[in-house]
Amino acid sequence: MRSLWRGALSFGLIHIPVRLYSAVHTHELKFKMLHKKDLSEIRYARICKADGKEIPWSDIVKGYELEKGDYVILTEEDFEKASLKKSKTIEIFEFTHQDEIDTMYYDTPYYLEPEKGAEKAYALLRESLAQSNKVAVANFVFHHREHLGVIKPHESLLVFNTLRYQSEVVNPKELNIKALKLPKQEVDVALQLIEELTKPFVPKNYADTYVEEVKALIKRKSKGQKTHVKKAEAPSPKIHDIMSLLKESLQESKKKKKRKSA
Amino acid sequence: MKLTHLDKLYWPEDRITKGDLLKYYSNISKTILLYLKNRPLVMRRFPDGIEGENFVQKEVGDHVPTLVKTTVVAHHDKKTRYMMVQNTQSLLYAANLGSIELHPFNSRFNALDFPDYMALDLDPVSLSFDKVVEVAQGIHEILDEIGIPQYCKTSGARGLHIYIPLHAKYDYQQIKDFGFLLANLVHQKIPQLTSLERSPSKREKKVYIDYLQNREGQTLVAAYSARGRPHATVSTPLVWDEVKVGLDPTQFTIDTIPDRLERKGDLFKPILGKGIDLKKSLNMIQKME
Repeated sequence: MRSLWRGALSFGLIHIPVRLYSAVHTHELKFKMLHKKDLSEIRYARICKADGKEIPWSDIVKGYELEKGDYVILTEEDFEKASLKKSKTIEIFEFTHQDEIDTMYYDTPYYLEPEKGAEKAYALLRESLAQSNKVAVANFVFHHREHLGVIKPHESLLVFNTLRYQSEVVNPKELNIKALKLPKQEVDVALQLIEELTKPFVPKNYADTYVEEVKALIKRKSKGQKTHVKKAEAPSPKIHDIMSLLKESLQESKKKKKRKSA
Repeated sequence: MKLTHLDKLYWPEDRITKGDLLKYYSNISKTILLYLKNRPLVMRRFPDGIEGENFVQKEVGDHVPTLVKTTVVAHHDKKTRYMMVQNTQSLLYAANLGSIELHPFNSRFNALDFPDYMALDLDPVSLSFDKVVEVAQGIHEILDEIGIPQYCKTSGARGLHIYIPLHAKYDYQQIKDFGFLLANLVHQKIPQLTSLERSPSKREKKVYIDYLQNREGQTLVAAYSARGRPHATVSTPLVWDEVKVGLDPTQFTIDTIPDRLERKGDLFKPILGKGIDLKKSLNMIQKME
């Protein structure tokens, strides 16, 4: 695994050098867009809306639309000025009970690994968090943006889980859901039902069946469908190869039938 | 069949009407039919003249008059009904639809996989026509050296087309591969003038040799077809002596071509004649390397 960042956890006088690794990966299937007719690859182009011509990156600037048609242009330098310097530390500023933080706020998890010599301090922090059932609230700068997150124990590791800022969470007030008075009896029945269906959560019991099915479909199709594999038109086939291919095909072609259209 | 809106201005700046176009096609029909007959046709239609909207039509559906012959071509899963121009009547029918430009298949409907000729399309994009002329002359010399006959016509737009007769002896895959070899050979001999880059931005002021026109379903504008461009230019066959710096392709128009045909005859006839021997040509190319 490749680390994304090297630095240190720090709070008070304590300083624990760590590396940061991605703790999740998506397994979405990637598809290429092809031209139906001859299966050439399709590319994106940036087209000027005024004259329909393709514009090279060198002629493109970024504009923020103040109001319709009125733009402020920002340059690379402007963005650099606004962005924060990479920091070398994940700065812990408080500890809190794990239950204090609603799961709505949890964003992306990263694994933390102690650097050589920092194993003991790392284990100590992990152990004390686990025993107190607390998490450390911290921030650090990554990709020019400041991230808020928590450090929490996970098995024998520490995980840094970024948190969403309050401003990123949509206010649900617009949904207008009223609190209702409920008969005790009905609540009791519902509670009983829940109790009966309560089990430990085992992540491996659930799989993304859509991805599995599409993969199986691709496997089946790749067996029967050799005809759609593109011939020759590699970016630059060797002249030599084409020459011998062509000579070979001339040997064979004498027997070929002629196809007619209807 | 009724011809309609004959006084509609198709080339407003040149004061040329739809009637003039129909008259041109009717005039030269015997000659152009050689290059259209039995070939699925792609029409580029300009129903409001060259300054109006234009579109490319392949599928003709079931609505063509019975006198117009059609043919169904299957390509992958798709079937397309193309029209074929078999006689003067169907030529005028197409022209009456506003089809200034006629783009036939390289192969005939009864031997779809076997093109009658291969074409190298020299497209200058933003370069001068003289540059294309230089490249065409370079190709002319090289092909003469290999012993491959080749015939040149203006595209009627900015470029030149070079045709090589095949007599429907080889299939598209073979001819595309052969086109690739020729294009590379030419590029090796005159790299300062030519490019094999499909992307215009990477061509660096060089002429693109497009050999990829030699695929099934690809079409190139027919010899003697008019173009939807200023002055009603025509894709015009040339003798090699005419292909020289200073040649002005806009002198060949629906106004001047009938006279020229009378004086010079049909210079393009050999592309439908005796085809090259591909094996011999390959051996020659190998010797040259």
